[in-house]
Amino acid sequence: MDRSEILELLLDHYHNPRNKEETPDASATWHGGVPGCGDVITAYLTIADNRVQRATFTGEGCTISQAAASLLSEQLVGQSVDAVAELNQAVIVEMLGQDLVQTRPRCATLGLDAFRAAAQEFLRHQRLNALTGGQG
Amino acid sequence: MNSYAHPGVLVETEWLGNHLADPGIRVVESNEDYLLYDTGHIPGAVKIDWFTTLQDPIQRDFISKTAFEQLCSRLGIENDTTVIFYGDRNNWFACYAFWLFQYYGHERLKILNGGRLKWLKENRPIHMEFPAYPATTYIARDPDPSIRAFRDQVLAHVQKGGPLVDVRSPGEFSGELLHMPNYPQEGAMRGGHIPGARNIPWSQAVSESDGTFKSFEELRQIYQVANGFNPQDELIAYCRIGERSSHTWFVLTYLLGFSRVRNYDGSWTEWGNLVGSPIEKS
Repeated sequence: MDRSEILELLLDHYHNPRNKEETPDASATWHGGVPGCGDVITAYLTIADNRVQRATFTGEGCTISQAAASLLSEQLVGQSVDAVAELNQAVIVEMLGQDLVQTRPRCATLGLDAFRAAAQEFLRHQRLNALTGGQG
Repeated sequence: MNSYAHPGVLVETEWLGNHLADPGIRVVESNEDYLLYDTGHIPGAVKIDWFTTLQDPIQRDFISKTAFEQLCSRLGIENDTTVIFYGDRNNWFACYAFWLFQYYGHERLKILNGGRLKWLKENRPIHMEFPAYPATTYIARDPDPSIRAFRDQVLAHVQKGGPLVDVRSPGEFSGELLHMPNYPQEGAMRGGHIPGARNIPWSQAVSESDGTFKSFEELRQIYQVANGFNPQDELIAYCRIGERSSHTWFVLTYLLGFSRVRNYDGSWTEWGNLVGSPIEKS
């Protein structure tokens, strides 16, 4: 996609966000934000058989932070929780292009950070439960 | 009416709505949100981005005088153009751009009172076209050091007990907010504030209802009566990266008539990382 197509896609996701809703019974939840900037995102992952069944988010903030979270939420479904826990900035660069990510790197990766942290939290609990026999 | 010290630096939305076609003005949108301009803007407005437009891409500093001249040329700004800034977040980055244009000596500068939010709330026209203007030959002045503070000057100021205003939130000022879980704050290794600073969050200067600046008397009560600053004070304002403090710099300088206010744009991202810099927590 060229820059204008990426912009069009981002603006569409900003005005019509996908998967933007709470998931009260999510397997893992993580709240993240950029202090002083006002961008906040809460990520919800519903996980079964170690795969993401549903990825939703809530939050508010700038165009890039909210649109990137919406775009990402669509891509996570079906991925293994281990893969989500190891995602890095490359996935955002792939979606938005290096130029746009560089303009606001912290905003662009806010959703990524929250979803990844939720997946890591899920795995931490899973390991803890394995060690304690579910008593942890 | 108000009794601001320099009321000519403000324009109201109604005035601007009636003067969009004036050839002597250039409306400039300057936001925190990088893509907000692309979602629609005041007809004829051009975009300046605080990060990608106004910052040097290599060194932590603003663009050079030459680059500033090229920017103005590209935006169709002449030396005698009246540049009217507006933006999101109560004009944070509109004031930041205003401050930088002042730094390079542009004389005719204004802020749209209430910014982007007030314009939208009043259902005024928004366009999606990206205007282009004929290039100009713009000559900038040398930077004006009297409105900018550097870290060594701030340290000397602290050592002689000079007044400072920290315009961040109380949590940032106290040092409580160093970072949120899993999201280290923008580069600062220490939390707190510069010794001697008084905490007057920038937001106290604007009306909650429509984002316009509070009246002269309300501002005087906040800055002069409640906090003891005087218009003759040599005062340094700072925040985290210098955008919120440029807002307060604007209020103190133009609305209250303080004559010696400097913006420390290095702000907490510099001070909170400096080895050996004195810090207070409260």
